Amino acid sequence: MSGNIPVTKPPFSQTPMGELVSDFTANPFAVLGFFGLLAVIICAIFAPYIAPQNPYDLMTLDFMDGNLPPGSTGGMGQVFMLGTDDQGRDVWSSILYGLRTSLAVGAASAFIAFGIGCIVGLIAAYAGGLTDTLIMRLVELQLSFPAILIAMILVAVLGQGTDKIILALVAVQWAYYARTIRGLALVEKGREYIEATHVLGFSHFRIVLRHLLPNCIPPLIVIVTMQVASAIALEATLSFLGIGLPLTEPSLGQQIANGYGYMQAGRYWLSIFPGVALLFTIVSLNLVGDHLRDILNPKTRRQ
Amino acid sequence: MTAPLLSVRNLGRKFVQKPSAVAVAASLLTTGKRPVQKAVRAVNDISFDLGPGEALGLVGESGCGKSTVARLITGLITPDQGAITYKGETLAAMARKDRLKIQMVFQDPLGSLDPRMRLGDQIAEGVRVHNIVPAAELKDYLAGIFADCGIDPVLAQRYPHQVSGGQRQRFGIARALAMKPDLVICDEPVAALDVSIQAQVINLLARLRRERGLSYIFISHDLNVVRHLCDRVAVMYLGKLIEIGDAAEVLSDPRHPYTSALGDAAPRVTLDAQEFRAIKGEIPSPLNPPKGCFFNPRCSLATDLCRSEAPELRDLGARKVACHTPL
Repeated sequence: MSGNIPVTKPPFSQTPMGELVSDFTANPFAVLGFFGLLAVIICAIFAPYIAPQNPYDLMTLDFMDGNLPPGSTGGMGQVFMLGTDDQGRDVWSSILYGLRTSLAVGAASAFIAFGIGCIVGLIAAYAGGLTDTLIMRLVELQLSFPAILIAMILVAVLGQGTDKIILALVAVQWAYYARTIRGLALVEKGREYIEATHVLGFSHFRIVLRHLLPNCIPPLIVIVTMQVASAIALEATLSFLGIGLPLTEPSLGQQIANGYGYMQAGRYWLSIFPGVALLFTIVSLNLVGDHLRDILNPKTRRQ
Repeated sequence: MTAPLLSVRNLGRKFVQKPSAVAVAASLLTTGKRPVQKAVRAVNDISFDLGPGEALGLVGESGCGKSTVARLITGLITPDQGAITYKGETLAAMARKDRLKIQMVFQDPLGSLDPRMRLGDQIAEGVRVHNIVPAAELKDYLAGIFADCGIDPVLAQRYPHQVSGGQRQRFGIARALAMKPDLVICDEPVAALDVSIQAQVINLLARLRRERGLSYIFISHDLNVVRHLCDRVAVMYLGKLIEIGDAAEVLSDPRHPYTSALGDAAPRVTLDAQEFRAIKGEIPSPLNPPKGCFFNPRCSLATDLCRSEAPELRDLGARKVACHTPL
């Protein structure tokens, strides 16, 4: 019947993952975004090894090196590529350490929110009826408030701290995920393969986790990348407003805020460079997310 | 007949179109009354028995409620009237484990297989979850199922979109078969396939039935397929059963005008040029079925009685027909 089919697993390029990879690499901007993002992540993870100095170890700072413009040479002969702040802190090193905090906070809150949103959204879609109505009204209530307002209120109530910022970001973002996955799950739930799982007598738990969730995940990957970007931006905003992370864990937003006061004095590098780093991170994430959305959407997917 | 495997009594199911909150508000404001709820009687007072090892064909036009009957029997939806008993037990009261003996093959194999799970895993999942065979024998058991269904085991590693339509439907059949069913509901299992593949799948279904003593409820609008595969045939029109009896007898010598019209509309291979006789008129809206016999607006034999009173299903020789003026 099919003797000419080789007795092997299908080649990687024919698996859903393989098709995704080949579609993704077809767009140069997406690849650019991907490598940009990769660079940012590597910088963040290996900051202590890449950074010329530890900006938060006061022993390594020298007041004599303060307020140097980019490219200056310090008292010890070291070059400050992006200049220093008033305490002689290397801006490049600060950015690397700041990226670390920003990415960690952004990713942690996006993933926790993703988890909560998935559970809530799947329950709403699968259970339907009153459960669905109650959950979705709550989601709409949440979404009707501006994100920044909710985050500010929560931080004001909970106080400062990395965990509290993450909590505030999760509180702001879970509703997006819940609404999105509910919509996806409602569509999938009506498909015949879910009916087939009922005929096979599977438990609700199995149907939702093994069949419904995997089929809702691909479009959600997009939302996750976008939401990581928006979590980072929101955290930067909160830090800029002075209600973000504690001073001991300065993020990019805080550095921008700190440098802001010196803009008029001509020390542009204190704000601009952390700002560029933030921009680069968010644009990379969005490029990757945008293109993922295009290739995961069957309507815009090239064949 | 021996004790029936499946017995359907006065089965009915209606679907209510709930008006939206806005429509209710608008109606309350303008007329002061709640809007009339529109209901479709998708299945209306249907009764039949199915013996062990028997194949019953269920035929009728699109929208006549065939698939709803299938979904009622598999428990995907619940009836609001009548009852289904399986081996003497009411289906609604049965444990899930016993319901597994009723399996289903769906019309669209691409839509009914999980797109993100390897085909082999999908066949194995049900067997594993319900311990159909001991875990140690699972591999051999599946190999046997694949061989029976004419599936190349290599394809088990693939995803549904990577195999051909015919192969996909073989997996759909294998999934049902792996649960060791007594009764398989086939909901137009070949309608989505190429004609050349249809014959293969139908022969496969016929062979499996022979070898395993399966009972089938075979839903189709292809009368030739039903004649080939089924012992008995039930004809549905607008949610009602209008004729039921021996397949060859009913299809070659129909007594209900609708069955006759269906037979005339089915294409046949002859050497002569033939005129295609379509059933005149459209199928009436199930939201607003005609008075009397539902078929009367399209029936050439309709009398005043047909227009005022709905005929009951009556014995007519070895079969049952719901018609005031049987042919």
